[in-house]
Amino acid sequence: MAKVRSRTIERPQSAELDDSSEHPALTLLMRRLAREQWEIVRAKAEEQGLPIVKAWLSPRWDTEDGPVVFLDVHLDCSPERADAFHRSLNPDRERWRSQLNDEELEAATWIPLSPVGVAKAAVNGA
Amino acid sequence: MALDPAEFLAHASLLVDVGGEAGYRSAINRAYYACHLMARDRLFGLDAARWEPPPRRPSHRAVVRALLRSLPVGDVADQLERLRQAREIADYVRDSGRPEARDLFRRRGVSGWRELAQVSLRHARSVFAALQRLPAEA
Repeated sequence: MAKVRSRTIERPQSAELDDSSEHPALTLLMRRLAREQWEIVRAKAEEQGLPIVKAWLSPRWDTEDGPVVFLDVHLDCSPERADAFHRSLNPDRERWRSQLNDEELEAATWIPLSPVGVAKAAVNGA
Repeated sequence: MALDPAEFLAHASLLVDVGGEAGYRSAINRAYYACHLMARDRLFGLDAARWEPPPRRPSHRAVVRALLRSLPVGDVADQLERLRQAREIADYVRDSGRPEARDLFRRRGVSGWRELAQVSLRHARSVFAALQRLPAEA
């Protein structure tokens, strides 16, 4: 009898945020706020059954010499589905923002979320 | 007679159709400025006439900051920031092999300028539509 070999497709069940960058724009405050925002993203992705492929922080200085720390999230879905996921985060993020003090609010302004759907062959808009 | 920023967005679409790296980069630029000008003038009046102190105009950061305070939809401000970063690299980084450009392609899940221009145009249309719903006196 021929043995049937099972094949495991590796896909992270619960992705972690890579916040290891040492860029000076990524201050302690920015790092903490990015992590808090990441928890909102992760919870919503789990709720919607949307697999996160990878997530990381991309800090930079913009042309006005201001800090910007993108929270980049690659999702296993189509670009359109990623946009819908992005929109669905608005109420939770707004609730989170409403609890921040002025200093935190200013810092959080410069942590844009950048979800990208990277599935090459999405089916039924998944 | 004031130019409608929607014309910049339409021009961005034409530039994508024209193609070529210069066309794609220019499309990203026009798509961003269509949204930036629309946001700025919705928030501060035509040509930012209500911005203090005159005759200066609000910085790009000032527009994003004001937008987030006025419009409780973070995804629109995020998209504007994404367009701004793409615009900066499209305009200033001539060598597409430089780490800034390669990193941007990887992060946006695209293979090069053509796809980045297409994605940017799609996002710009979405941002523009959301900004049109923003009350002019906001």
